[in-house]
Amino acid sequence: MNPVGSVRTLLNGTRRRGRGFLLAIMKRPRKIAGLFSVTLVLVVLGLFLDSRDHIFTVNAVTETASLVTTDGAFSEWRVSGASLLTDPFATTADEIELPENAYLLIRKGSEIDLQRHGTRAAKITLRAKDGRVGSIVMPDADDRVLGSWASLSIVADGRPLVWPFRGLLRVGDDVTSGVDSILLSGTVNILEEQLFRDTRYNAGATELDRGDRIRFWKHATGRAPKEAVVEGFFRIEPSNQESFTEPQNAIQLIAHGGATFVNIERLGSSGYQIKATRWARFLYDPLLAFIAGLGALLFAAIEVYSNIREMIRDARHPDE
Amino acid sequence: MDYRATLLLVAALIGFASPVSLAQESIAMLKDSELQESLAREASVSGRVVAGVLSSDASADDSLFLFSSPARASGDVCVRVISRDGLYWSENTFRWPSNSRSEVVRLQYESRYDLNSYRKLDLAVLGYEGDCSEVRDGPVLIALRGKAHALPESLDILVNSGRSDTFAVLTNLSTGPRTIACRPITDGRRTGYDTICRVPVADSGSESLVVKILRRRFDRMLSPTELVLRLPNEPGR
Repeated sequence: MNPVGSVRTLLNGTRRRGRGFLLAIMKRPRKIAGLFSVTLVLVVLGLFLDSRDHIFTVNAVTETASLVTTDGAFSEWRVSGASLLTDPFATTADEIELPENAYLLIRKGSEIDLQRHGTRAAKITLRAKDGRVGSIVMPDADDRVLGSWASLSIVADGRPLVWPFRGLLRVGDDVTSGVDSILLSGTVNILEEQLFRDTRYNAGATELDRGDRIRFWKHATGRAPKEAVVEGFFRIEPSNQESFTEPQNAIQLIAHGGATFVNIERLGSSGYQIKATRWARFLYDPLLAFIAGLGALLFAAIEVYSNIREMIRDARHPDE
Repeated sequence: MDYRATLLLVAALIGFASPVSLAQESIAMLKDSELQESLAREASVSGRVVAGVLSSDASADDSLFLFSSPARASGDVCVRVISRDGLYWSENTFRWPSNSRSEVVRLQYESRYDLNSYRKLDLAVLGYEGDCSEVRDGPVLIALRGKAHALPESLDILVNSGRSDTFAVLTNLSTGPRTIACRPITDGRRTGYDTICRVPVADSGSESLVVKILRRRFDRMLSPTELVLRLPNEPGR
């Protein structure tokens, strides 16, 4: 058999089948549109109802933050030249000056409060319900094991301090009398997992108000919400920064982690939650937005085709 | 039985039962004509360090009581109530019942709001000797929420610490001063108070317990607050 002839026959067959399919569509446009609509609705519904992971990122400037460490190895903070107190009833006369390159190693489960007003000294208080809060490691001296309470005051001189952490984080403080340190500004960004791809898209951002207190929460189905573990770092800018910019106030904070929602407590309101709603996917999810756009385009095409077909039919049979 | 006889019997029973039930309970009557209280949509901020002193046996209930004390010196008692979220607030003076020998006195506290909805430690009650309009503080009588009227083994002092490390020092114990670390409240709103100091009263030797509240905020000691607690006759002893 001639191979060229076989290919030609095959192509002709394919063309015929394609033409037949197009003719079938042209003959039953309403049925095809109905089928297409149902498929599209099912796909959109699937994308809408699909549960996805969310990463919340908090970028804030705050005078205070609290942390419960869940990972000891992750929490090693440079505390060069800090003043250390190891007893809650100690006076300034009992302060211990730490040398250069002293590091604070924080034990898992320790509670940490941080405070910094303006460009003044950063203050840390550590406490542990039982046992020790950690230890101080110094290059040319023995390690100093801390008890169940310790307080440090550190002036960032010359270069910034960056303190990484992993744990349960509370940023800011709920305002009441006696509270002198609050969150100054910040944003919460939500990154949502994209379907079929190992990428994420921005699913919304919320501005924080001065005086807000925020916490991350994880909510498993059928269980009470519990605080989510997040990772991040505190950055203390030097108070005598030699640059073109002004020294940065307070504590710069970045924290991110998988959570279901971020809870905001605010004086004068009962507080609210920031979460990625499924409706927001129509705005932010590129795939859902593409499918929704494609659907709209195809419906418009079908509508235009139907109208043209009717116009042609009217032109051919003007008496009908 | 004749219906008149039945009615007489019922009337007699009611007449007999009422004085008995009244005799069982001493009530501190409200001094003003109506209870001064508010439940705001927005939290009010209290400037006091000590928000309340309650028996640890308190429960979520709208009935409020004060423990009597032989050391009590005033005929009036000022009672302040504030919720942890700062939304509920009240301040009223009550007249202590004369010639009462009861160890627990119920307050004529008929709130318009549902105080049952506040959990055990979500409502602070501070009852101190004196008229609210005349004195701003004084010796404190231990308050109680709920039906358990047993003399307390320990007290919960609810403190608005300003997020500091808080310690309660019992200064007048027969065994010498004792320091107790207080527990911070970390969950939920803390507008009214943010710390709970659980203080045992079993080893106090006198009719009053002197408690000094010490607060440390990082490297700074805040000014101490001292309060005198009037103890019941036999507080858990």
